[in-house]
Amino acid sequence: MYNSVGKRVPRYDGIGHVTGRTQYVSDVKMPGMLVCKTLRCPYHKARIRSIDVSEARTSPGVYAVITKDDVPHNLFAMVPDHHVLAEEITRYRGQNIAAVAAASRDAALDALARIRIEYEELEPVIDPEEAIKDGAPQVRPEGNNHLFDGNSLTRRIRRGNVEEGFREADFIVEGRYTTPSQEHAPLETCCTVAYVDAPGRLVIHSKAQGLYFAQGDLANVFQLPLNRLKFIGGTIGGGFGGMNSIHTDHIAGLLALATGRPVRFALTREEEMLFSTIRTPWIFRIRDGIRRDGVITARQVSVLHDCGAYTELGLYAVEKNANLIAGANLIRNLEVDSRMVYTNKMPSGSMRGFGVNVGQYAEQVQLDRLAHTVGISPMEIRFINAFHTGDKNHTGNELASVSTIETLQKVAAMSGQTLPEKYLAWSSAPLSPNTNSGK
Amino acid sequence: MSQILRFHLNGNPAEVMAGEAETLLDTLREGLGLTSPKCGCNRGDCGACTVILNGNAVKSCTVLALTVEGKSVWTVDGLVDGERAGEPEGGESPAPRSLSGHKLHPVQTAFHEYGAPQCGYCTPGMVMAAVAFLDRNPSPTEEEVKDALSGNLCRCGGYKKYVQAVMAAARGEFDPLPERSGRNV
Amino acid sequence: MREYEYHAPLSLERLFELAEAEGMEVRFLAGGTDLMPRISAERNQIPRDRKPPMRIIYLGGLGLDEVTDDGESVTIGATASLSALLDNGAVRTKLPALHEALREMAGVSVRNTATIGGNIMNASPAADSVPPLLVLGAECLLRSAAGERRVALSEFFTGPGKTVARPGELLVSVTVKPGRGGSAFRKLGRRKAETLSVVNAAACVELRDGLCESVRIAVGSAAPVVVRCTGAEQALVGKKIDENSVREAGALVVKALSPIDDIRSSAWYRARVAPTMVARALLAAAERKRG
Repeated sequence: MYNSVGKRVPRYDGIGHVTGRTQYVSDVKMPGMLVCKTLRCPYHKARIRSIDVSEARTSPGVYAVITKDDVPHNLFAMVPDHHVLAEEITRYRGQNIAAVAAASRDAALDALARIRIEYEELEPVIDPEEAIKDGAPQVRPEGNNHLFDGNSLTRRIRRGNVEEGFREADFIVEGRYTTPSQEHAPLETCCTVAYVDAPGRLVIHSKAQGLYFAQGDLANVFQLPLNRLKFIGGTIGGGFGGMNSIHTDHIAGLLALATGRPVRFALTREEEMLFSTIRTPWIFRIRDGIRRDGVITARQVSVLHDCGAYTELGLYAVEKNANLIAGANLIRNLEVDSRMVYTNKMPSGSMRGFGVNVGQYAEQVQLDRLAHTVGISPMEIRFINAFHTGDKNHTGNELASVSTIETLQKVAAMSGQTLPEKYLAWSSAPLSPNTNSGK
Repeated sequence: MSQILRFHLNGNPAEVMAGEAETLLDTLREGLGLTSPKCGCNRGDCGACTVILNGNAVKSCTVLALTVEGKSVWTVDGLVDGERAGEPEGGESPAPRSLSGHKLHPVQTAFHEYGAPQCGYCTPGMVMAAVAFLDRNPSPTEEEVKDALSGNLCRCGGYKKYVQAVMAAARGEFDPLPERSGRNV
Repeated sequence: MREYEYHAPLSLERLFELAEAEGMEVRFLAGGTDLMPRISAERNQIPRDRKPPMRIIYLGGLGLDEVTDDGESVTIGATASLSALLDNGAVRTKLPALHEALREMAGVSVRNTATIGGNIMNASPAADSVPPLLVLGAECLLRSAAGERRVALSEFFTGPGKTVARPGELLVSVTVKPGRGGSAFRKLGRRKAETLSVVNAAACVELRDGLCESVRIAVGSAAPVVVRCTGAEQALVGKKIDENSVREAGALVVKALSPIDDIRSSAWYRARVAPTMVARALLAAAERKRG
């Protein structure tokens, strides 16, 4: 009856994978392909006093050397504030400063050794809680704090009246939660092969997860009309969000334009680990008011997102986090204040549920502590506060289809927990006076 | 500088120039244009470059190319049988066991059937680790399979299916395992 | 870019000629699992300093991979692969601590390439083969153009990455006299497989009338070199090896250690888990002796 349900459905590309015939970007080879290597900033923050690439340009096997002055429009990314090649003040260790295209890897690295560069090391700020303080070293000329809508330090969500909610509470529970950096480590590192084709289009074999985002973004960097910029995607050796940011496409493209030859730019594993975008750290403070019966009467959340040196996808992560940090609980009195701060580190990228799962870690641990405080089980507190169909979520959207309670019932069954009878009878159907009591 | 390297690749004699400090992985990929062994870490951690050297699974990024002089190397490319498998017979659509009509190794068929590869970048290395292992131990336990694949990282998290698929290949769920072939010189 | 030379001598005479190389860095290559990643990393760096050419001398053509058992002692050729040793009957039956260590080293595909000599000469304080060899009283045979000498493994390491071997001197084999003791190895890594040790420990116990007659304890990855823990050893002599005595001995182990914070663990944690690993190794070794 079904063509697919309950049956094995072979992947269309599975045979290619098991026979090693699938072509990844790192497998693309072109005749006369040049190798790109970049010079990266060795300091967390520095002023580039002078840079001289003349000797590198005449180094054997070198076809092009580029710095910021060779980039038509030196800004890219979803929020286009990221420099393709560093300006006078570098912002994170490993930031690209110059790039070489040469006949071989050895020739490219030799040329990089011949770039004469004078740095003045500047004091960086690494810790996000230091970075928000007055007088902290400035990561960016406009300051370390991201201003939402151009003027507010925080992205705010307000519902009800938290002061009233706290007065109603029998207990106040406060928690501070932090999450560290995390690298995606896809098995295939970032890689691009770029060339100019016969009709004069710049062709980019890209690992991008969003080819059209990358195309629009880079058309601006190259100052090329979209019809002169062709992206070729396909199978990639893992992304996990990391390939939503551009790591190699821009520089390979610039060098292909500069040399008229195919250029390959692949990161080493070390570069990928140290210098590509990551899931950056977060700090959460949650203050809850809870009644003896387990109902959360008020919640105040303050979030600090360490965005690294450029916005990249950090802003999007903060928006998602702010919307979902209060969890799948109906909390009538809520305040969320989310801040985003810049530090001298690699920028914040997307990574598997970015902004959401880090917040849920904090929220779920906090829920367990609430349950412990009032002496009920971790399951119970989730039942008591669960959303129902028809409830309004914390940003005011009416929830059309909720299954929190059914999910909890299933989880309890699967994990061998016995639930009290009354919770087995509950459902996520719209709440009426005759069903789930206590609210 | 480089030297001439002569060895056996997938059962055929191969001759290539290899640099004095070059890894076997680079020689296979760059010198011979064989891109099935993948480079994930270039430091012996991830296993994406696993090939079979004189019958043993090895990480080709940790092997100096010139040391394989006179030895036998198999990559996933060498597993596809030279014989034509023939057209599938009518009726139930059989498990896909061919590439352009060439037979696959049962490990390859099992990986495909069990949907083990996701992005697929670790797959050629996983195949070679599994094939070398089954050549030695054709009726393993699940624990032994896990141990055999422990040097191969899959960032998509497909480990469970890879282990299930190796067990399926071992019990002959698709085609019987071939006799220890020329891979074990 | 640095230059590299490659040689695969077929005799020791030729090897020692090649090892005399003015103005070059000479490196012996056995399996390559440590050296090749280092070379590859170096070749991916911007060449800021001029480095002398590296002469790589491959040891695979010298037939130094044999294991011989003369009844009293087992001699392991330096280029024997870890996998070959795992499959070796003498290693399995007579050197159980070493066998246990080999099983927990890296994964199959690294063990197929990596050699016992490489693990020793790399001189990592975390080398898993070293604590078992140390408690089994291993002796290294070094050879050079000038002749050969034997050095007890306990005298062999002088610091992380450093040994008493002189430039041009080759580790030919390592000899172990298993004696009457029961031995065991325990490892704590960050994962179950493909992991370097946070702390490892080996013990070799001889019993008489159910009491400890002599014991050797070695702990790795908790000091600049793998260390013997003589204080803990002395405390056990004459006692029954049981939960209580190994716990007391474990507490004394810490005095022999000087752990550091590194990428794998903290000094604090290492100092706290080392006694546990030692205790486990001791109990397993004694159990093995009792049979």
